[in-house]
Amino acid sequence: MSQRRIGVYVCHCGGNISDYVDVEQVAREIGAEEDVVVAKTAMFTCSDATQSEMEDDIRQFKLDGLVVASCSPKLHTLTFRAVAERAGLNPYQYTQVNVREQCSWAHTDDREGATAKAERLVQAGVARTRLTEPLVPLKVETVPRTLIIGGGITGLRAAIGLADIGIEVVLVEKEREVGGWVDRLATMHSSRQRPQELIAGLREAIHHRPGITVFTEAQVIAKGGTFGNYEVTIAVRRNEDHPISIHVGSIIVATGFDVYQPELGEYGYGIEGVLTLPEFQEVLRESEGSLKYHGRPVETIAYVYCVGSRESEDQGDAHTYCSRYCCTATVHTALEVFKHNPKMRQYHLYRDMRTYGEYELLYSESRKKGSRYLKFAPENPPSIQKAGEPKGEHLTVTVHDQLTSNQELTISADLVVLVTGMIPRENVDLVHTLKLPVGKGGFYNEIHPKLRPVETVVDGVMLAGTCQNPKTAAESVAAGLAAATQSASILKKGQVQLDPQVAVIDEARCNQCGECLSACPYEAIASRPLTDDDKGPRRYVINAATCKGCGGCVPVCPVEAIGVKGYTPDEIRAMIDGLLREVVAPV
Amino acid sequence: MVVGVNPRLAEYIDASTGFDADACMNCGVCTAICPLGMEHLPRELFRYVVLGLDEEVRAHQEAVYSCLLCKLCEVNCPAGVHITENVRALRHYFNQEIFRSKRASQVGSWFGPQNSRDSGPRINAPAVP
Repeated sequence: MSQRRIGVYVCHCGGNISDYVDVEQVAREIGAEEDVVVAKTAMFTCSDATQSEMEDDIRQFKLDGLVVASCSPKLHTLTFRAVAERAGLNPYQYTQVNVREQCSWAHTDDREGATAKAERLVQAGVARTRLTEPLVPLKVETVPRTLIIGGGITGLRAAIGLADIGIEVVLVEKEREVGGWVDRLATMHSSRQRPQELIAGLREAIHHRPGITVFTEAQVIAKGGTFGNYEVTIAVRRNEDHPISIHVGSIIVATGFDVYQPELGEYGYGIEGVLTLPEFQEVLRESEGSLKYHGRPVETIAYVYCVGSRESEDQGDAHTYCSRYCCTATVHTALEVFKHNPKMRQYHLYRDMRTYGEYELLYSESRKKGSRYLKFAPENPPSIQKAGEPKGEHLTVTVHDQLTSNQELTISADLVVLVTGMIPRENVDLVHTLKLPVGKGGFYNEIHPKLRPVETVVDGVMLAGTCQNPKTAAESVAAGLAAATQSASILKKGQVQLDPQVAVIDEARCNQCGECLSACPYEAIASRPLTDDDKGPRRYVINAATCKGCGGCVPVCPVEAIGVKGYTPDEIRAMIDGLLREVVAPV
Repeated sequence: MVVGVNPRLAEYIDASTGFDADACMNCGVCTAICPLGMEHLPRELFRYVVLGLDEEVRAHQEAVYSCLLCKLCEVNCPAGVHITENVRALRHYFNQEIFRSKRASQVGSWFGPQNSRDSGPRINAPAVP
């Protein structure tokens, strides 16, 4: 038996656990172990009272290991690590055992079985704790500068936000000028200003902030270094032979979207007068007074919604998702058209209206102003033909309207607007350079859309705007500012603490086979020559700042030379022995 | 049968009687709540008007005249459509367009020379018995 002094606390969770697990017996059983100095139960171990009782026990009994058998480690690992730390015990000598989700909640029909399972899980936890060593978090100095990729409205707003907090910004834009899609719009429902004025205002604001450096016609071509101090290489078109190298603490990706481009013949696309929504926006932007297209007055417009969105999964590269912004954008565009001509006849052929939130008001207003809404079924989409031209209207739209007993109707229109959605922008090189996680639809993935909406699995690399998923301009700006805040909260401290539970290589055992190199998804393992001779013997090293402690390298090592601190092979084996001890003992 | 959408019908009825079902979002509360259980009132009927399906409008005369004008639908309409006013407007449209022109052609003009369609019904025109 070890010389450790371990404290074990078994939680009732107010009955959540103790209704189905005999917690007193679990505590009695483990208390019989020689090195378990304290074994107690508590109604709520996470309560302030029990936390301070544990702190007193740690000091009084000079504990060097702590085990709490309660809920999932996701919930309270940090709580009890903090208890240990406050009482002077290294927080990494704490082990959480889950006897709620894994015992009481899972086995409500079997009290004895649940209790027996809890006993073994606690034994395993104690077995691991016996082998724990004190660990110290890694500290990394951070560079107070952020790289923003993409100079659309998201990137511009994020840049201004960061500069105002006092973080330097390097903004990289692929095009000749910053401004992005918004600069090309005719109208925006989220702003009273004209889009061009809005962008001009942001350009001005950036110009006046010395902390912001803008590179246009530029691209990020390489990324090195580690979290908090990345070294990025930027190639500028005018001076391609001399790429610029800059150190940045974090990176915000705001590369935006592309517009779905219908194929020729799709909903009549290609016929004169059949336009996509962005093309129609251009027409509207250029129009003064009454609306004209190719010199003809426009009196009737038909909008066809969901073009290139919510497609059936049967198609190969289908865009199955809803683009979210297009219903509102079209309804708002129709309202702008009424400003040109209040008598304009506007027909909206839709599948489902999704003018969510306050945009519902725009939908109501557009109906009151005379927009007519016709609902078609996806399996029975409208068709668009060129009509004879006696009356001057030159397009015929045929649709089965579900709101009129599925009656087949024809509409004579001067213009047909195909409401096209957002699609992910192709950016293979950047995805490769930054190791961006690409999701199902082709957009980049944040860790969690609600709980961690701008962070990626790569520390210090954040996402914002329509590169994540279709968003309105207002939502994109909100994401941009969220990324700016997240960035500043890391960089303002000047240093970051990283989890010390990372992989380590036992160089005495390592036989340089290189298996771990390909198993690491974070490129945290490197092979370096032992001597000056590049072809000579090599050693493998782990970059602790890049390693995420995922453990992917551990099982592939044939000689057990690699392990994760806090979960070493010995600790894992001890846990398995702890789980099976009753079975093993009689032999 | 394919029918052409004709915006002029709604514009014509609207201009003469104040018919207004633009705010209707086709939720169907009015149809569900109607104590007479009239299927075509008012949602579908108004739909025929705004899309200009005149044949369909005329085919549902029966429904237009059997409405009790109890306003149960109107007070429950989430879009605030003046449903009973619209029903009265349609009755006015029928009176002017069908009965009056019939009577005018059959028994001569009681109301002056208004037997042509072009003059159209006026907003304050007296209701025809």
